[in-house]
Amino acid sequence: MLSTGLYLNLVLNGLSMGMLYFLLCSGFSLVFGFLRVLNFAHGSLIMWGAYLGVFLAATLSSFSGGIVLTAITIGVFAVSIEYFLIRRLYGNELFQLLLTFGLIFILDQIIKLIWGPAVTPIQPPRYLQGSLMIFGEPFTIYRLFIIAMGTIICLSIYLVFNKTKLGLIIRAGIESREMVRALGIDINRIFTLVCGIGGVLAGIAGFVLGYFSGLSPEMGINQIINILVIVVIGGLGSFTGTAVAAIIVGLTESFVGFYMPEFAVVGIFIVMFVVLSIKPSGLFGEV
Amino acid sequence: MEASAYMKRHWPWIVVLSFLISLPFFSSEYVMVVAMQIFIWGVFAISYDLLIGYSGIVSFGHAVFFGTGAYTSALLMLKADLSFWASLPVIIIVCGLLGLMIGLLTLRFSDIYFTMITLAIGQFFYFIVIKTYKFSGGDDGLHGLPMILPEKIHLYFLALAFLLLIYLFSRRLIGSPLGATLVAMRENEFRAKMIGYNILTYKLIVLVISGIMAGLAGAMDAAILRSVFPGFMHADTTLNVILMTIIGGMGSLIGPVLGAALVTVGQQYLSSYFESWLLIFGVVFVLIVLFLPKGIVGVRSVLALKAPVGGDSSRSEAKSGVPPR
Repeated sequence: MLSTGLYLNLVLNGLSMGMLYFLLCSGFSLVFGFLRVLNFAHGSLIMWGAYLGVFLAATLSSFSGGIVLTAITIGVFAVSIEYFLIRRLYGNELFQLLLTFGLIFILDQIIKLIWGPAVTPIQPPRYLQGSLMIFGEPFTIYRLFIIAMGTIICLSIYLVFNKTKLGLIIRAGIESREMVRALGIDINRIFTLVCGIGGVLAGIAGFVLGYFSGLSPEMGINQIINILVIVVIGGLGSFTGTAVAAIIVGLTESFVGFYMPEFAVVGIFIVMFVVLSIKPSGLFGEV
Repeated sequence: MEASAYMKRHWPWIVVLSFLISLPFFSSEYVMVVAMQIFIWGVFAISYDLLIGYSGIVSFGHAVFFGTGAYTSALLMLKADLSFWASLPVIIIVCGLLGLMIGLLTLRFSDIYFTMITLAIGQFFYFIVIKTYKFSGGDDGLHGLPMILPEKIHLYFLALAFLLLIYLFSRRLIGSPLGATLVAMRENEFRAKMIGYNILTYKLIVLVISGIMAGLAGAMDAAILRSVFPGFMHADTTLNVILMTIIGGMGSLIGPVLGAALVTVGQQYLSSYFESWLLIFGVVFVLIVLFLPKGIVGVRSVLALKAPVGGDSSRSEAKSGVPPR
């Protein structure tokens, strides 16, 4: 039997992983929900957030300054991708898929060109290092920071969605773009804005991830795969679904990793297979 | 048809074929190995074109079939002492079933699911290969496969014959009623469904055929390199085949083979000068997606301002005709 302390530790670990996954997925899910564009380059944006974030934080010698500047930079970058590239292909899903897929090559290769192919471990700032004792088990402070960040981002998205005019327009746009357009709102500008928000979220997620797992030029492709699986589990286009699925996957990985460490990397896929064979549209997907 | 008329119509083919047949007699062994890679990747790219170009199904995990074929063949040869030829029927069954399984799991819901999940399934298989070290050799792969033919030059002609066979088969397939149905589905799935075609069945059929072709290509690659690596399963392998198909021109069968030649040669020669050769191809890929949807084989029809062969220039219109949700 598990002691309460160990059990709580596993739950907290799972929760922190779940929150990290939520951060990684949120931008992707938002952009898909509103624009119906599967942004396969989201993983690469996250990787740029990680590399750029570590660079900027070191240059500014400020962790919090780094995260803000990274978020803004990746946001602007995402806006320009939408404005110059994706916009040309609205209405042509196949070529949109291929375009965002092709961007993976370019973004990932530039990372390799600038920072080299080596894997670099990164230390968080001193006040986020070390661990706390929770019910007799050590728990890293950085994981607590991830849980805090995840909660803040989740709350902010909830507030923007439900309490602001922009959120109202976005929610209406998810239901019916035509209607929003008919009411005299320039939906193209909202498209660009949502892409920017997606980019900001990718920047924040990348920054948090970089200090957690270190930097590697493979992280973009690895993360986009995690994101796709989680979004599929949660149900395409459902933001709530993504959040719930992220937490479920995080908890599963934590427990599978404890009992069967060999299978920790495939745990996420097993959750996907189970969910898809029971409910093909995902947990919260519209059928 | 008269011989001269035949010559007139098919002279480019005859020239290319005679060149390829005579190539091993005057070229170095290195060129021959590169050519064999092109043939095999050509088959792989054709199998991909059947999906993306003719059926409109986008798979981002096609390497699964390539890798499964390669590993099945290698394991049967090394662990069960079967000959390469005896492993072929097993590969056909294994890759066919795999295609059926993946299709049943994902295609019954929507194409977007298929696209997303194939990328994940590809990585899942990659992890499995890495983790089952004792069985699959893990990161190191499997080496020391027996030569399947006595000489390299025989292998060269086998690979060439393999490419021709798959190409001719695919042309027949596309020309058949099945092919016409696939194109109809790609152009307007809803209408095809209303006419009474069972969309899922047709998608499964083409996925199984394409999967088997890719599996055979993987097995051939393993036989020529005499080893298999987990890289066969990796997302990079899928990236390569997508590059080839799109740059060459999807929906043309010959385009992907040209793309395979370009990417393979580019990789061989560029990689020694410029480490990030993929960056160049990435830029070319994005430009092609934006400005040249029919790839390099489409250049001619763009220049001549003629309707492209295959009559699918209306694709973008058909897609944009779908009302947004």
